[in-house]
Formats: sequence, C-alpha cells, structure tokens
Amino acid sequence: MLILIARRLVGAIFALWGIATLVFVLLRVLPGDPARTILAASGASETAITQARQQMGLDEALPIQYSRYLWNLARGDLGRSLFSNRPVLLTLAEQLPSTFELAVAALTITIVLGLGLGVLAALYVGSWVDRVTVGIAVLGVSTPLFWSGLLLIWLFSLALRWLPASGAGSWRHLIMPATLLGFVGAAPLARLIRSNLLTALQADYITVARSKGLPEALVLLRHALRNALLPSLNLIGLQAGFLLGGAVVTETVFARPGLGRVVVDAILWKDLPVVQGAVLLVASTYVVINLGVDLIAMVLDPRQRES
Amino acid sequence: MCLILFGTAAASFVAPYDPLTTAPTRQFLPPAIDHPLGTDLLGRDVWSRLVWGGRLSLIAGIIATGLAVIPGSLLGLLAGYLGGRVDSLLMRIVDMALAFPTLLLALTIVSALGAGLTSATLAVGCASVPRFARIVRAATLSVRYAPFIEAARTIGCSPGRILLRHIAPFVADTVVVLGSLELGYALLNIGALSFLGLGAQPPVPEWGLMLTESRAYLSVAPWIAAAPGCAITLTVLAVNLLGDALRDALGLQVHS
Repeated sequence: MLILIARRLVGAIFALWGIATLVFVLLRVLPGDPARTILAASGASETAITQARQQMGLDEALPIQYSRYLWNLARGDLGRSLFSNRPVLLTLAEQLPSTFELAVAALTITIVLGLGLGVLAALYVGSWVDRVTVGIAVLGVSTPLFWSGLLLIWLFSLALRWLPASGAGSWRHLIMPATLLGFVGAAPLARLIRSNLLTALQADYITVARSKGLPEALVLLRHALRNALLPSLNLIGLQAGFLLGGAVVTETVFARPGLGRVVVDAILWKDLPVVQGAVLLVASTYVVINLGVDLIAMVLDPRQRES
Repeated sequence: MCLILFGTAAASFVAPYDPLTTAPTRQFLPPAIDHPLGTDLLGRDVWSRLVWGGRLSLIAGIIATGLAVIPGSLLGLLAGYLGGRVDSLLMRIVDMALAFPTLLLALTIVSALGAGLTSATLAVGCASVPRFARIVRAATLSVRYAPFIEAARTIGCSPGRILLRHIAPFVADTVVVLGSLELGYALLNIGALSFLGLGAQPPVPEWGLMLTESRAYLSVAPWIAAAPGCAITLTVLAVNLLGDALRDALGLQVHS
C-alpha cells in the first residue's frame, strides 16, 4: 500500500517535470526566437531585439536556458510580465481566487447533478428520467459552452433581468457560470454512474443482500452505490481537467476576471512569461487533483490497490 | 448531416449574398424574406455568413481531425507492435502531454504559433494526438499476440506487412469511431479558440467568431447569435450521433 502510494507520488513528480519540459519546448524552442516574435510586431529595431534577447537570456545555449528555467521554477520564480514588469506569480495569485471560486462551485454542481441523475436513471431504466438524462448528456457534449453561455445571458439577464450578465463579486454573479460549467461536466459523470450502478445491481452480492431481506434502500446505499461510485472517482479527476479548460471559455463569456482571462490576454499580447506561468499553474493543479483523487480511491477501494 | 455537408459544399449557390460585403444602411435587420436570418452590425447577411462559415469550420475541423488521427494512429500502432524501449519512450511522452487538459494544450500551442485559424486548427489537432496514440496502442496490443499474427510472422511476413495487412484492419474500427467523435470535439474546440479571439480573425465568417461578434449586440439583435450557435450545436450533434451509430454498428465498446 505504502509502496503504491510512493510510486504514485513519484509518478506525479515526473508528470510535473514533464509538463515543465513540454511548456519549455512549446514556448521557448518552437517559436525559434521569442524576442523577435514579441518585438517585431511592435516594429522594434534590430538592436532592441538583440538587447531583449540578452535580457531574457535567450542568447545562451538551450541546455543552459533549460536548466536555469527548471531551477527558477523549483524556487517558485515565474519571471516577470513583459508588459507590466510585475512578477507573474503576483498576477496569478490575484486572479486565482476568482477561478477557484468558479471551479469549486462548478465541481460541486457536477458531482451533485451527476450523482443524482445517474442514480435516478439507473433505478428507473427506460423511464422518462433515464431518457431525459441520456438526452441531456448527448446535448451537453454537443453544445459549446460559449453558445449555451450566451443563451443563459440572453434569457436570465436580458429577457428576465434576474441575474447580472457579466463581472464578478457576489454569489449572483456566480450562479450562471458555475451552473453552466457544472452542468456540462455532470453529463458524462451521470452516464458513467448509471452504467456502473446497473452493473453493480446485477451482481451476486446484491441478490444475497436482497434475499437476506434487507430493505431496498439499504441494499442500494450500502451495497450497490459503494461499488458503483468508487470507479467514478477517477472520472471526477478527469472532469476537473475539462473544468479548468472550460473555465477559460466561461470566464470569457461572462467577462469574469480569472486565470482564463489572464491566459487569453497574455496569448494575444504575446506576453510569454505570463502564458508560461498560467499554463504551468493550471496543468500542475490538474496533476495534483488527479493525484489526490487516485490516493483517495486507493484508500477507499481495495480493487484499485492491486493494479 | 448530409444536409449540412451539402449546404456548405455548395456555399456559393446556397448563399444569396457575399459574406464580406458590408451595407451600412442595412444593419441589424431582423430576419425577413430578403435576409432569412437578418443582418449584422455591418449589414452583412447572416445566412450567407453562416453558410460560408460552416464551410470554413467543417474544413478546419476535418483537417484537425486528420492531424490528430493519422499521426496518433501511426504512433499507437508502432508503439503497440514494437513494444520494448520504443513503446516506453513514446508512452512517456504521451503521458506528459496527457497531463494537460486538451484545451489548455491547444492554447499553449496557439501561443507558440500566434493567433489565427490555421494555428488554431493545428493546435486542436496536435493536442489530440496523444489521446489517439494511447487508444490505438491499446487496440494494437489486444491483437498483437493473437495466433494469426504469430502465423503471419512464421511464414515470413515483414513487420511492415504484418502491421498494415494484419493488425491495421482490426484497429481500424476503433479509429473510425473515435475519429468521428473527434470531429465533434475538434469543431467545438476550434470554435472555442475562435470565440476567445485566438482562432479565425475578422472579417472571416467562422461560427465561433460570429458568436463573439454577436455578444455585444445580444439585446438589440439576438438573431446574429442564434444562427451560428444553433449551427454549431446541430452540426456537432449530428457528428456525435453519427459516431454513436458507427460504434453500435461495429459493435464496439469504446470509452473516449
């Protein structure tokens, strides 16, 4: 058990290193000459470009750049924005709470809705609950967030005037973005829980539990759900990744401040240190969440300790 | 599905107006007979833009899918068949890329290439390569040790021949199903990048971009948003249903 946990931890550290390396390759090596890319657009002179290249340490050999990059990351130094010259870490720290709020609210809605709909659909297979759930799931994966978001704004802000269309600050600003994001994430979860629960309900131990004369509610809660839910934990971890990506789009639709806005603006402004920092932060969050989910699953589910 | 393909392919016949011609005097006209879906801020015909945009979005989506499927399948086949060091090296790299949420990886690639529809297409395609490599590798492994592969090797077939003639047909089902579902994702993600301002640039008619442009005028002219929004949803829905139908027809259990 301990060995497994240790192995999983080492795996996560490798994943973090991999992310850092991939970001380095994508943002430093691939564009060839970031200094030129950034400055040429604003019509800077050749000397200014050379100067900037020196300042950014781009005139050194790639291996040296790479090791310095890793060393800086290990110290938590993400560099400074090319435009505001503020430390990237500070900018990210300012925007984090807003995105965190959205992600937590959305994840809660995903879990509650996914669980509720999934269980209902499995209990009443073939009924209208089941069909509506499957229908919503199919529609959910086909509708882009940026379109359903606009629809919500149109309905609740413009037509009914119930909720503010954009911005952040109060729980009323949070309702639409969180519901939207949570709803879309709930669809695959509901589908998985439905199919897991259906399999679990056909297992021998359920027949045993029933024949012992246990009330149906107990059979469901204590025997079927426990076994059906644990495999869904891993999906929740994966859904977190979708949530983090979806947050970028959602924040843009609802004009909410947050990490997503920072990334998009930084890409448009070619502010590479900010892009790099934000991407690293989001991707590492994803790795850490999945590590946490795997560890919880391992503790709760003996089946997962074996593989 | 056929209707969408046909309509967009014949864009120049279906669309009554040029999608780029502006008519300042005719802005924000609600849907009427001469403009079936109304006009936008610059007086451009929304229906014409929708049709031309669909053509662009579909082409971009298909290219992105190809970019994901072809290298992904080849890598997966190779890794699954060769095994050993090649396999572990390739899968290490794939694991690195899979540690990224797909849209985030696409965003990073766009920032390396610069905003634009071409780089958005490339980015969305490349971001899905690792997922494909993973799945095709698993499919390859499942037939890798089958007796008929052993037999083919015993009678002296070259590795290339075994891969293409004996293994590829078994993997093909999985690839076709996942590829059609991938087209749905690609359409959504390219639309999302365009919506964020990182894909297609104005004045190009592209569904995601049309939605961005409509955003500010949602209260005055909701029809400008409704047209591309419904178009994306219907297209992706059609593609996904096609994928599901293919999966059922081929009797596959694929988890994507």
